[in-house]
Amino acid sequence: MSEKNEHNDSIENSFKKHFQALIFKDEDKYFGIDISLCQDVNEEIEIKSVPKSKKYIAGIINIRGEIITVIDLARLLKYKKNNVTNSSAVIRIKTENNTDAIRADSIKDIMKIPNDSLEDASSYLGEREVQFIDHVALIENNLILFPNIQKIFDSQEVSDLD
Amino acid sequence: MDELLKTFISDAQDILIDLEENILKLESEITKDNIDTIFRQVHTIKGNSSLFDLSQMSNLTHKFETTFSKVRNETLDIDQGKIDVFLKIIDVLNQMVANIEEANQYKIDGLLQDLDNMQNQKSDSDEVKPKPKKKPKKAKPRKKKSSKKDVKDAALFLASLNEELDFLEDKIVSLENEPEPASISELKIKFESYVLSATEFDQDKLVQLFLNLFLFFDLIEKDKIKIDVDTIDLALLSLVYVRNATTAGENVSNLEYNEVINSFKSMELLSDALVEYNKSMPKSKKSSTKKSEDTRKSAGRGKKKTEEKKSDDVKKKNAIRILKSTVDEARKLNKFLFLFKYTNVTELNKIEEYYGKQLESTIIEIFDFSKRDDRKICYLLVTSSEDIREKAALFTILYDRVKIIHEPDVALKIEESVKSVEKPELPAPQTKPESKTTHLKVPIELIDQLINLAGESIVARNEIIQKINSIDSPTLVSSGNKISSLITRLQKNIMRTRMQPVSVLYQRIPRIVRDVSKVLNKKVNLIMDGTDVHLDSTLLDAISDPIMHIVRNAIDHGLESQDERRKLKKTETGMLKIIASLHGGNVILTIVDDGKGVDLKKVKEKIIEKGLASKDTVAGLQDDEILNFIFEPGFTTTTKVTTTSGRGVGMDVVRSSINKVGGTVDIKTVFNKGTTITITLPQTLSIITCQILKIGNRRFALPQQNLVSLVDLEETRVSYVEDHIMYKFHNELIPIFESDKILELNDDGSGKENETKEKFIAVVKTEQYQFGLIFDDILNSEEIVIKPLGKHFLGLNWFSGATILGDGEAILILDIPGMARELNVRHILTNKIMRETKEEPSTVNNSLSEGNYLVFRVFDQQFAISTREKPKIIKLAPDSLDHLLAFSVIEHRGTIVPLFELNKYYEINIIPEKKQRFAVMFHINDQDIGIVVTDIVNVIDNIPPFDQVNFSDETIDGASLIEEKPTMVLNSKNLLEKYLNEYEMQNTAVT
Repeated sequence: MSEKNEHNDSIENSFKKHFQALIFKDEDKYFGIDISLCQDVNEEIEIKSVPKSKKYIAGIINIRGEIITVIDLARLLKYKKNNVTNSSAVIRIKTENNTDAIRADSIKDIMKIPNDSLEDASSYLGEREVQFIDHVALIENNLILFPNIQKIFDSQEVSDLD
Repeated sequence: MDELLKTFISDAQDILIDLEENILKLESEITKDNIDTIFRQVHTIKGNSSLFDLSQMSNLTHKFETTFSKVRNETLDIDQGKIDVFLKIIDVLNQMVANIEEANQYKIDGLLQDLDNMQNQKSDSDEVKPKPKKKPKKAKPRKKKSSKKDVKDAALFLASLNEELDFLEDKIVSLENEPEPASISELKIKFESYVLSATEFDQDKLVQLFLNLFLFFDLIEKDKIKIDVDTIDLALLSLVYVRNATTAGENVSNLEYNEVINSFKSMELLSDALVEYNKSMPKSKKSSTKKSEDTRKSAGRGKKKTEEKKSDDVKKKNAIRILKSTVDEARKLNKFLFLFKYTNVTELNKIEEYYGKQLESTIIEIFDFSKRDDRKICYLLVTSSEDIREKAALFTILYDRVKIIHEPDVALKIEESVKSVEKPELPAPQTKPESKTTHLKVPIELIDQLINLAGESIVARNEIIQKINSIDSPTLVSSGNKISSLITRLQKNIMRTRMQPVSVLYQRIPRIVRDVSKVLNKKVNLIMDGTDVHLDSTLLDAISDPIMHIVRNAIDHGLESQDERRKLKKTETGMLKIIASLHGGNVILTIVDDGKGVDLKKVKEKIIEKGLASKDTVAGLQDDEILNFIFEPGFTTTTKVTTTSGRGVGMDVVRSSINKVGGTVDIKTVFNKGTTITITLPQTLSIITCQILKIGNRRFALPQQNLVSLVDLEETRVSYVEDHIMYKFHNELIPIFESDKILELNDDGSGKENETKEKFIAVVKTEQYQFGLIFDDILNSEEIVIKPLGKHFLGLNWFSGATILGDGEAILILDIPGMARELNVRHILTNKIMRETKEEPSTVNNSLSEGNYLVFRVFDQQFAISTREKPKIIKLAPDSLDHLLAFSVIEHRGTIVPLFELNKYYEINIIPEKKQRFAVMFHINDQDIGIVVTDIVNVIDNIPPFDQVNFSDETIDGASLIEEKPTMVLNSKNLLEKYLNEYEMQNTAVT
């Protein structure tokens, strides 16, 4: 069974035809995250920047008494040049302590993404992006980037970056 | 894992900790109390472990106990070797308990052998005593071997017994002439011990015989049997049998044996009858004597058994049967006692309902055939007490009386269990049941949850109070205040549940001290004080290893060997003192030794060798700054790596783990006098008082413990040293920083209007430094709950965490020690003193490295000059001054050195009778130069604050009063360079 899968389609989850993804916009890029990995979404929340911290960290927020670290994907991927953080939406990701989140300019939609629309990111993106983005999908003429959540929140993985 | 086992584990761990402590105490002092305690503790573990399937553990503890019972009987002396073995056993037991599933797989043969050796060693030496208890009946892993051994031991036992017989006979014979109570009880005890040892070796007949002898002498002791020819005969007769048995083994005629036993029996029964008789006719002494004469006759022959006696025998057998069943009950009871330590009262009642009835029937049986005292107990047992615990205790007392006859082990077990129950749960019978439980075992997760909730409620309280205050409603405010104070109290008390006394930490120290001092062969006198200081158990855990490391270091590096100490005229035994005290909200732990201290020269060499700092930097550092390098990673002064230390992974870990929990470490040392390490810790974690400060439009929390003072920023007090802003605070220059700049908050768009507004300085402190942070506004001080920052902020030294304020905003907590590092405060402060310095290549013997200023006089004028250039003082021989044009010179180390005569430079009155006796030599710009001096006054650490403004001369730093004399403080660099320039210009002009 697994052998057959590998043969036909190298992408995981292939036994399901599609999955639900939360689509959000940051800078001028669209990103998608499997909705089963998301804990919750908080819109219109002010992120407190942490001085002297790594550039890709947008800051911290308080969600129901917990201090949540917010990662700025656009900065991590070097899409953003300026340091100004607009009011933003924060997507909390299901992790061990649920204390990690991703910043977004705006939440767009929840979409069904067919599995066979996912393509390997390396043919579309540069080296730095491929480090954190596994797959891309072209949906309604928009390129949606599917980041590897684990790598983004792995402090080891990103610690060498500025 | 079932609950009971869990309880057992946590119990056993507690006991083992105490046990280790007690065994270590034996090293310094052997007290009976302590030995008894150890015995009891070992016994408890043994008893409890045998309830579970922990055969190896109970084997080990059993042998441990047996050995220790010898110690208790004073037939075995305690020495270092034995304590070593005991400690090893405790280590193994600890491992077993920690790894309970595999407890039966531990190899304990070696330790068992050690214990055996210990016991054998004893039998070789002093007088013969009962052989160690063995339990051949108990299933052992290696049956063959052990049974062989037992046979051998049994033979040994018999042989030793044989040797004792003469002594016993002597004693008994002497009793006939002068019946001393002391020797009677001695004999009684002897026989008792023989009963025990004979039981071990299955010598049934001997057991019976000794048992009878024991009871016999017991009766004699209680004056129930008179000593006369017949009684003595009987005792001697039985000894004859023992002699035969020991020499000929079991092949003694049964007839003879039976005769002896029967004699005893009749003797006893008669004495019973005698007692009864005496009671019924207290005054008719004559008849009693008559009766006893009858007794004697019947006893002497032993063959005259009347029908009555036979029925007595039946009765007796009956009684023994009952007692035997009692023993079974006792076994159950033991388990039951163990249980009810941990179950609640309702469950106890259930047990009682079921168990109590059975127990009572047994008691009634005993009641039918028992002595007066026992009857009383039985009566009490059945009637008096509703409380099952008391009943159990009484039962044990009763059982105590029969324990000698049957299975002393079980009896002991019960005794132990009851004892441990008695303390907390069995006060005087009259006291109310509520007071019986004083401590509860609560899982730590629950406490942690409570603490979290308390933290949350504080945040919520701050929030609600803020909202209430914004509404104008006095009633609401008062209820708000009420709830506020309740929550504060609640939180404080919940925090206390996590508090543990420092003594928990102290328990581990004696063992470490002992082990290390033994390896290094040093004598250490350990003093620990402040055991009742409490602190958070997480903190206690966090500092436990660092403290152990410091203790090890103190003994290894600090204390000298005995020889060295003798040479230094110190006491041979080194002192190591650990003191805990409360100071403000902080716990201060000081670890003091009177050893050799830290050799700063060595430290300096190492710093340079390890490349931790350049030679130049090191030369300019203060002593305490040099000492601080001890905390750098990879630093060690020992050249060789030992088991105790020398790997250099020590002090940096110590500091970082203490810093991690919000504490600080400080080290002070005096060469050849000792070292003091001071650890300052917050008493609790997670909730601290913070000053909330505002920078731009952002708020930050500054921990109160780091805050020295909040002051207005006064421009007049600001000065600049190089590029750094300094501020005069209490007559001291401290570096200050603009918080918005150092935190790079400029781009936050806070607006420019702040520039005209007044600003504030928060003067903060770390363990070594004070510095200031400039803020825009001071807000309130608040109790906050520290929340850790996520893993992405690792390596971020500026903040120690975050917190959520009452209005829901997340703010950052400033990490002052971390900031001091990031801002390189040390460097600035060093520079403040040093400015720029050039290092002298070679330090000569008499160079001045200690103290900061050299005070000297030229004729009547007093000067002070910094010693950072490491000047050295040389004595000038009379008339050694030469002149080179306008300059005085001397020949020094083969070169011509210009000498600076200050009186030519400044206006100083020359006093002809004063001789220019010294020169202070400097090495500057690769050139030697000296200052001619008439008197050397002193070397001092610090100069009183001096005025800089009045002197425009760049060669003078200022003027000050030193030892009540006006003193010019020279700027050595400027002065000497200026002079050198002149000198060189002259020279080049000449050549």
